[in-house]
Amino acid sequence: MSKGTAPEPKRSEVLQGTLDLMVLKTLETMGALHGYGIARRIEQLSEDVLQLNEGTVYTSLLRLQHQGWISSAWGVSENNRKAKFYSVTKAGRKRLLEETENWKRISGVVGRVLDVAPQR
Amino acid sequence: MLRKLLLRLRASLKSNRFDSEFNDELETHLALLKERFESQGMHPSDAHYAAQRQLGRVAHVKENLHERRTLPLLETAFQDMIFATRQLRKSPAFAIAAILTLALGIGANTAIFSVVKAVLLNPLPYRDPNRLVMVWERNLHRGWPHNIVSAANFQDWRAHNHVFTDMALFKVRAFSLSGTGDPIEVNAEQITPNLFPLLGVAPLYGRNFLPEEGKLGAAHVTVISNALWRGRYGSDPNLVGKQILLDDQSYTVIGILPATFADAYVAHGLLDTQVWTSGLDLTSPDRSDHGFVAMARLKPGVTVEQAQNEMDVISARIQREDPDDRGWTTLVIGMHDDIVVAARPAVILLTIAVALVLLIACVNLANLLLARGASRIREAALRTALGASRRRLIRQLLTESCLLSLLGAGLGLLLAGAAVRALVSLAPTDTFGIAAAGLNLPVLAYTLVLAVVTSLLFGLLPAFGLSKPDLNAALKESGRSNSESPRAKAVRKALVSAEFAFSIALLVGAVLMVKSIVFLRDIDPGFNPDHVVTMQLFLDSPAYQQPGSHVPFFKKLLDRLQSLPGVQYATVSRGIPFEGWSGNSFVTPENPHPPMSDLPDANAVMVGPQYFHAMGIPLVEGRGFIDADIEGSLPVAIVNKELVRENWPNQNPIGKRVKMFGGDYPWLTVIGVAGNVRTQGLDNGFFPEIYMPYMQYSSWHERPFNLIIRTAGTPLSIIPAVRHAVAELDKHLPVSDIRTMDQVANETLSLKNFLTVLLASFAGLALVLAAVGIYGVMAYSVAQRTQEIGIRMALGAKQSDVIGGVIRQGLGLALAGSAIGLAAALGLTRFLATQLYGVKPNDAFTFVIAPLILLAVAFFATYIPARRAARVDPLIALRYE
Repeated sequence: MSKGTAPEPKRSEVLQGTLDLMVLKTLETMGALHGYGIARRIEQLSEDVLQLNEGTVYTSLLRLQHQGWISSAWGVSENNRKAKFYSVTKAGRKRLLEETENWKRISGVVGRVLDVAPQR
Repeated sequence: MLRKLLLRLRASLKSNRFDSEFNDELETHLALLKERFESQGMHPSDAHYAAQRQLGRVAHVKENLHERRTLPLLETAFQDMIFATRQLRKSPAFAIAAILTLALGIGANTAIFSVVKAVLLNPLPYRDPNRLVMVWERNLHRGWPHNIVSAANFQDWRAHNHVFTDMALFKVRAFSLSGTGDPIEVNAEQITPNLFPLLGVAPLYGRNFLPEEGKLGAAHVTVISNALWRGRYGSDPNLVGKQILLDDQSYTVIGILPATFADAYVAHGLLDTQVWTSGLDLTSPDRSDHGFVAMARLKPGVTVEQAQNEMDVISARIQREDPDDRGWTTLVIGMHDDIVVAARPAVILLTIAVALVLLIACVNLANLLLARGASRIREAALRTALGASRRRLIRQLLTESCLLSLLGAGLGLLLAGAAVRALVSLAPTDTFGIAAAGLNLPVLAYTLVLAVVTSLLFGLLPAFGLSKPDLNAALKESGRSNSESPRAKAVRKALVSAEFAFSIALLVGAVLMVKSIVFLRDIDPGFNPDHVVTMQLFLDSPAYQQPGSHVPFFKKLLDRLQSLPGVQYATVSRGIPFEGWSGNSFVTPENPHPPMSDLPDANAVMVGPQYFHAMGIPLVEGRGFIDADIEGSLPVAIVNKELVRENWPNQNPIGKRVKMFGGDYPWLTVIGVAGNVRTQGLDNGFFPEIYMPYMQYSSWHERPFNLIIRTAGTPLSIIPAVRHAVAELDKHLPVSDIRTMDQVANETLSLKNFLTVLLASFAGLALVLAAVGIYGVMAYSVAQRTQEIGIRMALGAKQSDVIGGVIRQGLGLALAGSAIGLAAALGLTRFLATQLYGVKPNDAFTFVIAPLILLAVAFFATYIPARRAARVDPLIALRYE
């Protein structure tokens, strides 16, 4: 347990940008979701490898909202509670396309670099 | 970025709602998680904890999000403001003193800045005004740097230049306007038809002059000012096309100018033109016949320097072709620069002076805050111990300074409003644009920025000093809550010395100006302006078109006026001292053909009999003009001593002759010599003058238009009688511009008066602030040393010793500051030099009296705390730890 004003350590290292990207992609694929739904989907897709404090999803959602890539609307959840639903905007879709291309390119390079056999 | 900022701002303002909404979101999330765990078989209470763990520390999430969503800076700033207000309410005396000081300092700066904006920074009301220039002729060889131009030269420049898109010309004149309503005298301009288009001015109604209407003898058409249209013609929308009478001749109104138009280009004199006509006579081939004012518009991309260079080339060629024009070059100057040439140095001087006052106020406040800070060391130490960062402490202290500044600025704006009105009424009337000075948006913005900068200036030092407290010493029980480190004491003393340095700079400036004004006022103008009243009578209407018709009119009028009770002498003249120069070249028999570049020049004044008695000008030789000096008798003239000195030194001038150059003029015989008059201003020397009796020039177009009366009693009291006398002879003749010669003389000093009053006020203000400053420091010092003084007195020191000690300390500070300030002032007064007359910038008297005044002030300010120190009762002082 940490004291004072030190930040809560994450259970596994997930880059901020990566989480934002995953949240955005989730919303693009699944349509409108609330925070809980997004967390479940990410957990599902990562096959339990990523275990994050689900609260961090909300930080991600705020960042995405500030950038104008998602929008929000109040609705009712499956258990009849008030919930905020998020969905991708047109700008968000465009950004997703760019970021996906970026990722593929970088991971390809990293993959090739890592695959090179060591010199003897 | 901006979107993010705006969203954050919005969230800040609605933070409560956002927070509660987010709470709802989290609740839902938690509930869903709990349900999930329950459905997996967990016990409800276990599920609850598991859900919470999964979500993460809720409080942390909330706080994190809140911080990201809003502007934490804004919220802490708001907190700081509330805290600062509370602190200030706790020490009202300090707050009031600080706010008042700031109000004076900031208010004065705001007032001066509004003048700076109106006079120096406001663009002229024309299209692309910084492309406009004035073109003057100059003859530096003869000492005429800024001269009106000749039509011949103008035509040449216009035809051959490549730097101007166009050039225009105008001539200032007056008309007697009649028709509807009483006849009045209106100021007018005769212009080339392209003048308004050159300026980019379009009439509100009607049209501009056509090129044909610019020709000599063209149809009589006129454009009138908006003010005249509203005032005299009741904003009649159908005025265009109607006729008005100018000098009893019918003119058709073809255009009415918009209200936004101002004839700024007639800067020197601020005539407030009402009527424009065209049809200038530009036919004279005489390049020395200077009668017009020229302006031009620069081509795109051309600078004033380039234009000047081209004009130099053109005038060099003209001088080669026409040797009579030798010595005459041109001056090309930006129109705005030309207009503000007198006002600019004065305004800049005032800005510096008032900035010094603000600096002194800031130093005072810094000192006050430092003193007050000493009593808050404990509080600062506590807060540091509880976790406040140094940056936060500084921010909070700066917020206090900012609050003081803003409150001071608010009060200062009220003061500035009144001050600006006073400044506008005190300023010389020909300062163009000053009427627009006021608390407009740019001025308000300036005040806000000034308030913030000021708060940094006086708040930073105490904030830094206070934010790093020695925790150990400050929090100890036995620690004196009012301790001040030796370093802080030294800083405060240095600040007080600085105050005195600034004050003395201001004081030196003020004393120099006062000396200068006193000197000028005492200067003998060469005539006696006391009890003399002057007014203008223009005999331009057709009734007086008959040559010579004005002579009997004036004779009858002067006879009547002379017989009025209270009138000692009545006369007429063409022009009065201090108002203009009617230059005429002349020759003498001893030197009948001087080279054109060296023709003697004199101020030629047409006057009536008794002129010298009325003006109080001594006649040192010969006689004045009498009724017998009329057309047909010997042409006579009276010259002044300066002309005699230049042309007939050590000879008897009576009987000598002069002749005006350039026409078929008669030889004039000198019959008298008058004393010199400073006709070009009190701060100018003497120039040659030739007086001529108007009665001998009845056939000339030029006639006298000034009526001058010397009275026994109050000059203005005879005005009704004078008007009556004039009306008896001609009830359509307007009498205008009634002033006493005292007023006329004062007007020449109006800029210097203005500067002196303001500088003296600022110096006075600075002295008051410096006195308060040194009082504060010494009083505090005495309070700190009560124990020490008590010991001293118990050991035998007398009261006078104690007083002496304190006063010595105070005077020492003042002296140190004065010495530095004087050294700086020696270098700075150079900038004041243009405004001084009869006083050198390093005048010894000033540099002695200024420190004496300052030391006297310091003495009195230190005396009060000194006396209080002496009244310390040793027993009481020693008792308190």
